[in-house]
Amino acid sequence: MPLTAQIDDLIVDRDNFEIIRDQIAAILLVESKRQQQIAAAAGQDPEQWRLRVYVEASNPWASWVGEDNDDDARRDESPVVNVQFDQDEVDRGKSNVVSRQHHNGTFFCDCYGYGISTEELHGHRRGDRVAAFEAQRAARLVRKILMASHYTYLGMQGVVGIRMTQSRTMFRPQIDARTVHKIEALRLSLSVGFNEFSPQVQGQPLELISASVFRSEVDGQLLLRADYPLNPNP
Amino acid sequence: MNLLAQSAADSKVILEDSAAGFAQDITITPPDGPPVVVRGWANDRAQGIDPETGLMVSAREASIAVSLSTLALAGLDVPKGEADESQRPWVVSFADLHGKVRTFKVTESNPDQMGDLVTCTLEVYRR
Repeated sequence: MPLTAQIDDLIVDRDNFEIIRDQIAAILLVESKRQQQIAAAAGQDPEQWRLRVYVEASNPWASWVGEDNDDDARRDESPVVNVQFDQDEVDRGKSNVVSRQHHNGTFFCDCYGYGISTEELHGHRRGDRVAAFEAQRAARLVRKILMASHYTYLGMQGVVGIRMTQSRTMFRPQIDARTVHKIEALRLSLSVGFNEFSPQVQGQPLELISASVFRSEVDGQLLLRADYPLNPNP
Repeated sequence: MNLLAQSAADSKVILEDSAAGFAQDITITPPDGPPVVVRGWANDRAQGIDPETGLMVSAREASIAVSLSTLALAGLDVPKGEADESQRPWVVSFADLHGKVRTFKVTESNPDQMGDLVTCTLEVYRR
């Protein structure tokens, strides 16, 4: 029996894991901006609340390792956050086979810190320590923002059922890859339970039924009157 | 001269041959002394590293190699990394092919006493 296409509508909607990934990045960006405004209003250095947010970037710290990024070239050294989708799996107990599947997914928020060793009046400031502290400071902001009660459902109630921080892991370059720039990373894994939906069969009307609802004047009972057009010669 | 001595002598010649070789002037500043200029090999290049996030990234790696006997003649100890932030580190600077001088601190040194040379790993240092 030849197979024919059944789906007549163009599939244009993104899956929810894509939307959630972008939503996480958007939340981090707008809240970072807002924190900077609050800090400036409070007379504090807003740069301490600045995050540079990327989505699915393959080399998010590229701006730190350019040829001109040297001791006499000051570049933007604010922490970088790269939001990535890692994996998910379907919870069959919360899903149905027709329209809605519940997924438990993991999203990575990789926080990169940058540090340059710098001479100080007495001694020096180590780049590796600065880089680690910067990565951890960024992760602190990311966790506090994403776990804020304002974002219990990541702003997507009805799609997201739960979001919860899962783990934090520091990443350091391999021991034989000592580089002139100190970059450290902290991966914050965020677990999100969410629904995915799929194209559905659009039903065809078989019969038209008109119905009226009445309230009985005797005892207030609700009554339904319906007309069923019947074909006398089926 | 046995082979060991010959090897050390060759190493010094190769490291300090700026006329026909790769040697260049390198300024080494100890934590508690004035800068000293010696000849040696300097390296500053990009390489891929794995930060263990699943993404290979490009980063710079810098190092120098100088003769231990030359350092001794200049009155310098063997440079070493300094993890104590209350102390000044060993600082190294050299020019690239375009004449731009770059400054680094020593993060690690690997002296080869029998080969009469020390290789120092560097990282960018701001003054």
